[in-house]
Amino acid sequence: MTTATPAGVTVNAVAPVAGPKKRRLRNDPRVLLFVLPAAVLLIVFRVVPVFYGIFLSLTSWSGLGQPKFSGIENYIRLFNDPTVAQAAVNNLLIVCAVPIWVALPLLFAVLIHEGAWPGGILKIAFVIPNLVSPALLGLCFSLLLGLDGPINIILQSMGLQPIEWLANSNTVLGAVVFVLIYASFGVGVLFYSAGLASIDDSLLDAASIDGANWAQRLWYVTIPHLRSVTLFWTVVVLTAATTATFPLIYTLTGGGPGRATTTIDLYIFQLAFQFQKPAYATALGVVTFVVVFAVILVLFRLSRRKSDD
Amino acid sequence: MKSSTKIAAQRRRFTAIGAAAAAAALLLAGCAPGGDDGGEKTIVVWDQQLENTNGWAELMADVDAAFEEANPGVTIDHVGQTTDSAAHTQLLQAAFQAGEGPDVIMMQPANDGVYIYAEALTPLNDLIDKSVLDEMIGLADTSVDGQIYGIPSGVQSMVIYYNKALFSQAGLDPEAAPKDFDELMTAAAALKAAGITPFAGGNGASGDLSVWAYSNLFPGVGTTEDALAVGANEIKFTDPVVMDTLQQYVDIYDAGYFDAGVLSKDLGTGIGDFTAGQGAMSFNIATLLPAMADGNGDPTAGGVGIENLGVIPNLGGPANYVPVGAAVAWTVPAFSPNPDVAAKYIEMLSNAETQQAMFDSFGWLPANTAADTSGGPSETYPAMRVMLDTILGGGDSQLPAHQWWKAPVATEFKKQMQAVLGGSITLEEAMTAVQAIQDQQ
Repeated sequence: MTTATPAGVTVNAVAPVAGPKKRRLRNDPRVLLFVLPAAVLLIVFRVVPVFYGIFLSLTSWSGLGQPKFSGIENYIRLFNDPTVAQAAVNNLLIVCAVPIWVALPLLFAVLIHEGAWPGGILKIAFVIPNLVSPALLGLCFSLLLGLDGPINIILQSMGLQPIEWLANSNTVLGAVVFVLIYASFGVGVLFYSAGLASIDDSLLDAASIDGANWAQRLWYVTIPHLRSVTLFWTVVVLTAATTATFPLIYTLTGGGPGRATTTIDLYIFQLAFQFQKPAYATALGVVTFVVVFAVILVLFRLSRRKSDD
Repeated sequence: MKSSTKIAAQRRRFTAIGAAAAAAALLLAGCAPGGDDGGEKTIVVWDQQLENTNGWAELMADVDAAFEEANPGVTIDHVGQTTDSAAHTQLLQAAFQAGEGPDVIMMQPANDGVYIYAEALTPLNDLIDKSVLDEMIGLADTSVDGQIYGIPSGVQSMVIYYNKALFSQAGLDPEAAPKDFDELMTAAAALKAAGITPFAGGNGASGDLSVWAYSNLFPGVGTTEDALAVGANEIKFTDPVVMDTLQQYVDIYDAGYFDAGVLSKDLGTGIGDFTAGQGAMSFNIATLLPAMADGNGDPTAGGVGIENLGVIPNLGGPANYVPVGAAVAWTVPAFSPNPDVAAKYIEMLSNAETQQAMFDSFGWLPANTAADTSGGPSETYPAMRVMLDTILGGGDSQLPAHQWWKAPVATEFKKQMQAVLGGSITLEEAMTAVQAIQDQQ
């Protein structure tokens, strides 16, 4: 199609299609210049360490001198290490709390979104723990949960016996899970709140007109529309539960009593920086990475299949 | 405490040291490695105590100035480092892997430090004056196969501190400290009956109290050879000598003689409880004596009082020995471009004058036997004299029992003892688990 301008010049009228422009950009070598700095940083600080870590895991390096190749010795040893087994069990028990970890912020976000609670103040209050270093949070809770800490003082004021939350093998993991959820809860509320804001109110109104009660609206309208947020948050907490518990547990319980709260990431730290076995620690890190990556991959696959259905 | 007169005296002493070291400086000037800026050298020192011991930084500034004066062209860059063992390990690993960093590193003796890094350290046998080496004790804790890789900054020992006023309150003679485990338990029972917590302490998170208590109690049960044999895996952790020692510790706990919150409090909080008068006794280390008495002269740091502090340097028993070994030690990494200068600096830190000044200033127990310990804290703190008479009294001495264990064993021990005290496993199960880790080393 052609168009004549007032000046009598004839130009081609181009339909506003983004495809060719995108293709042009993709083929333009100058684009590489813009990508290069970030790519270099990623490769140097993310990709190379991963491969170097895999290499180290195949050595008997003690942190001194040059690494000596030892094949899969470290990996074989992992399967005979009782602390690895105990730590893996502890991580699995923490992962069992992921449904609560995912659902609780959703519930609070919905209540805030629907005006049941004063949103602004609560959101700020929920996020404050995220502004505090996990290590500091661990220290704070070690005082709060101590035998003569405020929580036990409250229990005693109610006529109950104080509890050694952090020194009793039966209560300590529950206490750790509680603090882990508390530490990340606020960010979850923020993510879900952002997702809720994007849901068209007319959908909820229509459901109400059709006679859906609050729980039905939540189950059939809100939650399905928050699938991508839920998936993202699940990946975040799953990763946290398996690879990022260290700073909090280190200061809260040190992995004890016994090995009741020793997790894989805490043990990796101990192996590398307390036991002088960085190569063995790296092997454990590599296995953890592979397992967590596989679980997340399965999670994405399942989610995609559900979306396709 | 530390008066301006005393500081002035120390300064004069260091001026004298500087003059005495001038000869060494001439020698050093001749062996400067090529490539240095006209012989200018900077010796970087990593020091874990610089920011952690009252008076340390001031004294080190004097030592550094004296060394620089005696060695023209040499500058000492004294850097404070963390006492957190994990963070310190990260620093050391980074330095040794990079092959560059400080010229002098302070690190723990034996299995916590020097033994681990020995292959990357410079042997000091020929770099430190023999007369200084001959005066030192604790060198076995910093040596491997006859090579000396570290010079102890002082000596360390395990002691039980007690609060004399609380002893009196319980009807006990404050000047008659318990001499063995039975007397300790009798005193604890009397204290408890008087409504006083017999032992302050915290065994949460790190679980360090268990190893301190073990090393305090072990000399009353086993010999110094036994302690070494456990470390070398020649005696199992399930052996009666270990089990009997730990049973004493468990008995103290089971009798309710520890603070009620001992399982969840951390070690520092437990020590704070003792200095605040909330417990009559404390399993502890010798170098903390001034801190226990009067906060090492810091009125904000607390303390039970100079005259009120009692000390039990060791609990007697059939196989009694006094655990005394190297405190943190000075080492020279193999990558240092100036090992000779670094070693001479360590020599100055280790000579009798400096070690005496460290004792006089902040009660750091000297590893140099030529240091005079009759003044300073010995006059200030009555308990210091009692402790020194025992731990520096010569005879059979060795590192505290737990310091012969490798880090994974010590960590497992602490974790398992937490579970034992918490009641979730038996002592035998715990020591079987510790032995399994020991067998992997």
